[in-house]
Amino acid sequence: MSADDQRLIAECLQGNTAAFGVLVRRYQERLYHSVYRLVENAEDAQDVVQEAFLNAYQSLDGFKGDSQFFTWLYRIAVNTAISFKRKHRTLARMETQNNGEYIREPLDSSAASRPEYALEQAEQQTRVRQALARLSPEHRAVLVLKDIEGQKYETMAEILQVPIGTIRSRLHRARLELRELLEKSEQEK
Amino acid sequence: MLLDRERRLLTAYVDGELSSRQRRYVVRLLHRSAEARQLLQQLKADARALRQLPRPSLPIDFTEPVLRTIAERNLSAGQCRIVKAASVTVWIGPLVSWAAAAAVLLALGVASYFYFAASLEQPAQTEIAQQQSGPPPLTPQSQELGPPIIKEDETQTASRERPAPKNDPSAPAEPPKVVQHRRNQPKSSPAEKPSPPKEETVLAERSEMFSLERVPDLLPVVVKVSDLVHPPSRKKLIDELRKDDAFHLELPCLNGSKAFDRVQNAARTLHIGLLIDKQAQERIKLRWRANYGLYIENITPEELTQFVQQIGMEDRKSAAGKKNAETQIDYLVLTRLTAGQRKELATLLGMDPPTASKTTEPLGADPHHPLSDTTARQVGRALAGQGGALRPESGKPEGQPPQPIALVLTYNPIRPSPGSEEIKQFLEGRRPIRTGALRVLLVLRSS
Repeated sequence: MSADDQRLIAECLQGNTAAFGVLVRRYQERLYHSVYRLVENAEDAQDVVQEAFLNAYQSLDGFKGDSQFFTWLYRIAVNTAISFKRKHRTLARMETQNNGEYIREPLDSSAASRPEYALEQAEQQTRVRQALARLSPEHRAVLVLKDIEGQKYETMAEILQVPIGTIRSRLHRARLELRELLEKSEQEK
Repeated sequence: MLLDRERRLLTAYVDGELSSRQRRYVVRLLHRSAEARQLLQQLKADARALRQLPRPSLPIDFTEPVLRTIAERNLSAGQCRIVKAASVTVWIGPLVSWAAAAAVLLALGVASYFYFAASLEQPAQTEIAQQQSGPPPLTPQSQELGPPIIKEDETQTASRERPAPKNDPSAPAEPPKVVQHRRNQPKSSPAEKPSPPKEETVLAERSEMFSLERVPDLLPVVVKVSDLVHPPSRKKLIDELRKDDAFHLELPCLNGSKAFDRVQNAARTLHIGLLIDKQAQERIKLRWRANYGLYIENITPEELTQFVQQIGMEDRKSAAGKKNAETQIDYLVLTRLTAGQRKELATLLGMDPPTASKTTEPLGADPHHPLSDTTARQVGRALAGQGGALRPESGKPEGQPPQPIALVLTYNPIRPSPGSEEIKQFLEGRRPIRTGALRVLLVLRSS
């Protein structure tokens, strides 16, 4: 853990709330990005991130500094997101199917040189997001942690608090399931 | 066809989490198998596509709302230790439920204890009194009482009209003999010497009070599949299956897809039709370590036992011909279909099968067909067999009982698409349940 994080945490525990503000500013973007991929909805992601920060603040004395502060924060956020998705699964599915939220996101600017390529890319991204959204929260979490966050098995196991074997097994199933869903959507195209 | 182990290695290869030995194996595999190369390429493309998803821009700066909430709620750092924030939320609900369930069980236990303690106190005393008094002397009083056996309705009336001994404050102080005697001697004076109690009286009343009912046995029955070649084991299973009309059978196996091969062979041998849902077909084709559920109707206990026996035989046959091959299925776990499992089945099929099958009984109306069809069928039946079973046409052998058909579905965690073609086909082709036939959900669960 960085010395600066450690200092800020110590200040927070002494009652300096502003020090926590620095930590929030430092990690909010990275946290929001991952949480957004887990809940696939901007408003829900905001709620989950805010809740995660508040939970982290209240349990700061439980952080022993064995891991990176972000890993610890991330664990709280991922668990909050998984719990949130379990509760709102049906609703989230309906939203995914009914509104065109996916399309609203800006396209990657590097792909904008060729119009049809941009369109293909957008379609592909929509398919990937939809497939990701259809996975169980546990499977989605391992794919986001591995492919989007680039975490190692050990860190993922620490974040999700499961054995490495479970991470390996979940990733295996998640990848094959994602492949199957993508194949299906390509056939329906 | 790639083995499951090889698929696992390929997905781990995409993650870059293989040992050098495993990596060498994957390289050799990729060298010799076009299927492996294609799968790896696809998996890598999927991982790339996930990485390339655009990063959403931060909609707001969380600093201000977080700090404001901290101030509003008057939170302090480290005021509660929440290492697993979500798990606290997740477990609160179940904890409350468990606490409520435990409270109800405790209340029931305490109430039962007091009830039985109060009820058993008196007969116990009566028995002691009988032992002490020995055989009842034939006194004039006892002769007046008439025959020793009291009719049930008299006993009931007596117990209804008189307060229970427990409620009588003087009752515990009196000897049990007196209490028993008074029940049948309403007008006796306290000074009179009571006659010894009549054992029959006690028994009649006791059997009325404690008429025990048999509750459904929900404990699972575990049967070793290979043992079913022996008649006693078969009989035991058949006897179990005769106790109800709907069952849940679990066949734990190493690989559901491989185990399904055995099931398919057994079904072919026994002429059991299999209707395989599309999702299940795909998984079987890919040899996934998946779970499958087979819903079977109109199968008798004997047929089902034979089916399971045949599955075991097919399993051993498949294992015998291969080097280092293991049997897929060892045990069968049998439970009666609980309400929860019925509900689950209804979710799988999109309708409640037990209810639906009842609608096709002769006196019911089948919502799948117009009433005119039903009427025509009933008239036809009346003409052919005077309202009974249809008679075979002249010159043709008598019709065979309907062949059981099993609907094969993906089971946990992947559920079949509701209203798939195969499910519709199965539901449309259903027939009224034969007398004594079963409804069975057989689950092949990969370990």
